[in-house]
Amino acid sequence: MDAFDNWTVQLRKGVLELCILNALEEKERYGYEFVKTLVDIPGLGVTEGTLYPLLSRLRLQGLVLTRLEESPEGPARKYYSLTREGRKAVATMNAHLESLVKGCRALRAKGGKS
Amino acid sequence: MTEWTKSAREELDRYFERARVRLAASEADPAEVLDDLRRHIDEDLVAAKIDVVTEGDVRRILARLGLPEALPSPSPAPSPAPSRTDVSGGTFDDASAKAKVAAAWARRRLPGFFLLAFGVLLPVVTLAIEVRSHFCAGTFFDPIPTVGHVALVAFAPLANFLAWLAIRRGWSEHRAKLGWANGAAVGVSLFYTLLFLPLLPLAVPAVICYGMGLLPLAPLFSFIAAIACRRHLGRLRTGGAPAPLPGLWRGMAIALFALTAVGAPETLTRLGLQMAASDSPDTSVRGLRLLRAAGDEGTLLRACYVRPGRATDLIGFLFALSDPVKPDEARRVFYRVTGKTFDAVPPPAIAGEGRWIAFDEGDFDPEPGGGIVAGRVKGLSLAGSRLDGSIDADAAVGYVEWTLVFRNDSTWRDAEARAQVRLPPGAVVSRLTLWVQGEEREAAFAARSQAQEAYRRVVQRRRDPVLVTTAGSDRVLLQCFPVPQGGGEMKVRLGVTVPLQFEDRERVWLRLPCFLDRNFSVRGMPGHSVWVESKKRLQGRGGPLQPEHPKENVYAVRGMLTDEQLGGEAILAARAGGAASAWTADPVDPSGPVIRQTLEERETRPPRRVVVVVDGSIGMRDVLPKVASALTKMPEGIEFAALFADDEIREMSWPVQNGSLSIYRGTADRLARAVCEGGQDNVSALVRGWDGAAGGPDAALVWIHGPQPMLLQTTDALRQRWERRPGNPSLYDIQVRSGPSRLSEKLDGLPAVETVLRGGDVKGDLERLFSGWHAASKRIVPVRERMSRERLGTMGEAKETSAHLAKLWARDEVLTRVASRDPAAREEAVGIATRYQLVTPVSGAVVLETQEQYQQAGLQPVDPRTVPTIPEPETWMLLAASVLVMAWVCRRRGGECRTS
Repeated sequence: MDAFDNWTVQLRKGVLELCILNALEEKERYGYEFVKTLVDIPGLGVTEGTLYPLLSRLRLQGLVLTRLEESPEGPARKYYSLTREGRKAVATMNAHLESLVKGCRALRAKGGKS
Repeated sequence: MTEWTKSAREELDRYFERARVRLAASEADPAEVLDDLRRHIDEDLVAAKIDVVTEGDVRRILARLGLPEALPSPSPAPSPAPSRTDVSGGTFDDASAKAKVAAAWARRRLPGFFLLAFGVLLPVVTLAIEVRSHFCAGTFFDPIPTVGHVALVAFAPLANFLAWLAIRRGWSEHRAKLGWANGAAVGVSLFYTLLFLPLLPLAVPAVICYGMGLLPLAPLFSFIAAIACRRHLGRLRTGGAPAPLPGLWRGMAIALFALTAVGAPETLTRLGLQMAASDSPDTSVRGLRLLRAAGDEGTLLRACYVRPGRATDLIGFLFALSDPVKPDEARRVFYRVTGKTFDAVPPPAIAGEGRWIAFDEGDFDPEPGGGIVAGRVKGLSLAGSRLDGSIDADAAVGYVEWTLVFRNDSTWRDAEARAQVRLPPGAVVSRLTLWVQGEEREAAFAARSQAQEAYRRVVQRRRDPVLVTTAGSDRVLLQCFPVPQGGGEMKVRLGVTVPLQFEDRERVWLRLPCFLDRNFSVRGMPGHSVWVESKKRLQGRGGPLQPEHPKENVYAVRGMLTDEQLGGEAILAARAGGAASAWTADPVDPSGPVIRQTLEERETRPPRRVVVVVDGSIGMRDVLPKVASALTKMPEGIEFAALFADDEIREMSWPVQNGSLSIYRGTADRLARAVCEGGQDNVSALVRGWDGAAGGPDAALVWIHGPQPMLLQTTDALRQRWERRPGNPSLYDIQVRSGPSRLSEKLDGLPAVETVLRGGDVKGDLERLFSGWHAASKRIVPVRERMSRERLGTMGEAKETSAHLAKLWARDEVLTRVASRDPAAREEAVGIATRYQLVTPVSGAVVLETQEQYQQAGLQPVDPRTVPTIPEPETWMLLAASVLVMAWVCRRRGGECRTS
């Protein structure tokens, strides 16, 4: 694996959780469609096999809440939403990321000028 | 509904196994992730509209899913000794070890062998053992009294097994249904856990010390397993912490409802039994009606035994706890409800002392040496039966010898053969013989109590006695002991002297004796072989008995009769219409007085008042319309009333009023519509009927009834009435079918009892009785008296007959003295009965084995030379000829005629 691939893997690992939490912050989401949506995001490079363990871990950490709803059309539907802790965490993470990006951009601007 | 092929499932299972291993090392919940993946796959299949999932479909979907990756937490704690990291952030060195541990832990969280063993296998095996052996039922109580209970108990391990399987295989699509089933399983196993709770303190030490006793623990284990299954089922979808699973409380409620429903018949029966056994008449009647309508006969029967094997209806149990119904009372109720005694039906499979009792006839005889016949004894049968009879139609005297051979096929105990025999009207037992090692031994006739005591003493020593005593009007009880086990046989002979019944002057009837009740089987016996001879023409009733005329002046009827046919058969004999008198020497004093019989035609003296009491027992059901129809033959102008012995006494026609055809018809209509059910107490109705009939002289109480195998109340009040006012009203005891009548037995010896000529058809018999009460009717009455020979010579021509005529005279004398209630007269009666060798209400006949036994009992067997025999028809011819010769000689001599 070359350096870029390694870096993308590391980057994905870092932002994936934040992406999920950001997506759930807006509203409760139906798990199946949610996962499909995330899988289809270019560059995110995730599979369902990766997402479900992540979602489970987030639930165990108390950041995400799940509920089941019976469906007449198929298996019961699982819905994900943020807990209060999750909202706090996503706000913190977003603020941290913004700060980081801002810092990176500042470094790039200064670097380009020198 | 999507169907999966077997290979598709296997492919999925393999994927999940690999995924589980990978997830074991992650911080995610493997069960939850797998559940999510399963659901995702199901959604993909629904979206793709795939109805039948193949292995290829699964592979495509799984290829898209990929194997789960265990991404670490953003802020993981430093690992203890990380050496290298892989691209996913995990470690290589301890990853495989952690994965193995986690995989093991994941597997441990699934229900394993112990749940299967204690939640499924143990309850199933326990249930199977109890169904087969009834061990708990015989020792403590019956936990599975019905098929419904068996099904419910079996449901719990079945539900546990299905839950176990679904959890192991991840069948989350059945989660809801399994939740309901589990709820019901929890309910059933909890119920039985509580039921066996009192036995748990015994079970644990029994298991430890003896290695047995898991039966009471099985429901507890099943309950624990059901709870454990429920927790696992709760994780089937959501993984991690248990999530609410539907159907717990409602499933338990359904289980409780089902248990109540299957136990409802038993509950109702117990409640009904409590009510029926109440001292309050109204409550008792309501209880009886409830039991007849909704009771369970099996439960009622079990209550009749010492250990009823109380079962699982807690409601009934609680009712019974405060005021339990004793077996004696339960037997009375059983009879009231069903009309059968409890020992007339096969006992329940478990009854009494935890012993097995044969499902067929009883293995044990509860009445050895006792005074009633009781139920059938297993292995005891009638191996042979022959009736040999002789009729002197002109003298209207007959004699029948009934030879019986009993056989005992039991392999473990001797048996006593007992039978209640119905004699022809007015007949008397005049001979009893027992064969001992091929030799005939004749009976000793003695006072009734002396004979009974001698018999009982010998029975206890298990020697060979036979006893015959009266058991009501025209009934005797025969007891023979022991009939040896292992195919042994016992042969006895009963000799019955019979007064023939007059159809008219030219025709007389001989009824044959028959069994009313017996404790032995007649299966396998070809029939009763009957052979009756006379010097006058004979014919049967038109059944199997065929007339013969083997030689001059000898007529016979012979054939084989079944037990039922014997009860209804009668033999008609022709007689010389002008033969009005007969005589015989007194066998007690052959050279002394003689007995002379004269036939008198008397006008029937109809009763002035008649009260009819009809039994409402189930045995009357078929004949009630016939009885009702016969009532219309009652003569008008007689004071009439009718009662129906139901749960309460019902007045068919009351109070006593002058009878008319319209009254009789109205009574008949009401009677025909009456319902016969169960076994009814006739004593109260008879007491009331007696009170109604005894208001004036010349009264009659006509009691029409079925078998009365159980006496429901004491007869003291009834007997007192007749003992204080003997002879009025007369009692006409008409039993419509064979069977014991304990009430008739208690009326034994009362002079009020009148003989009713029975022709086998109750309607005909009643119509004959009622028609005979019309003022213009006449009947022929034999009048017997003892007189000197000198007086005999002055009374005109009389035909000499056998000594049986003297026995009939003696019987009349005994009954007359017994009726007087004078102790001195009673002593005389005993003396007469003993001298003339008769079985009467005050005397019995007993055969003992040895002379020593006779001496110990103070008895003397009769001289074989004096026993009555069956006179050959030719003998009477010789006797007649000898009389003529003697008369001619006397005339020639011109002196008083002396016969010797």
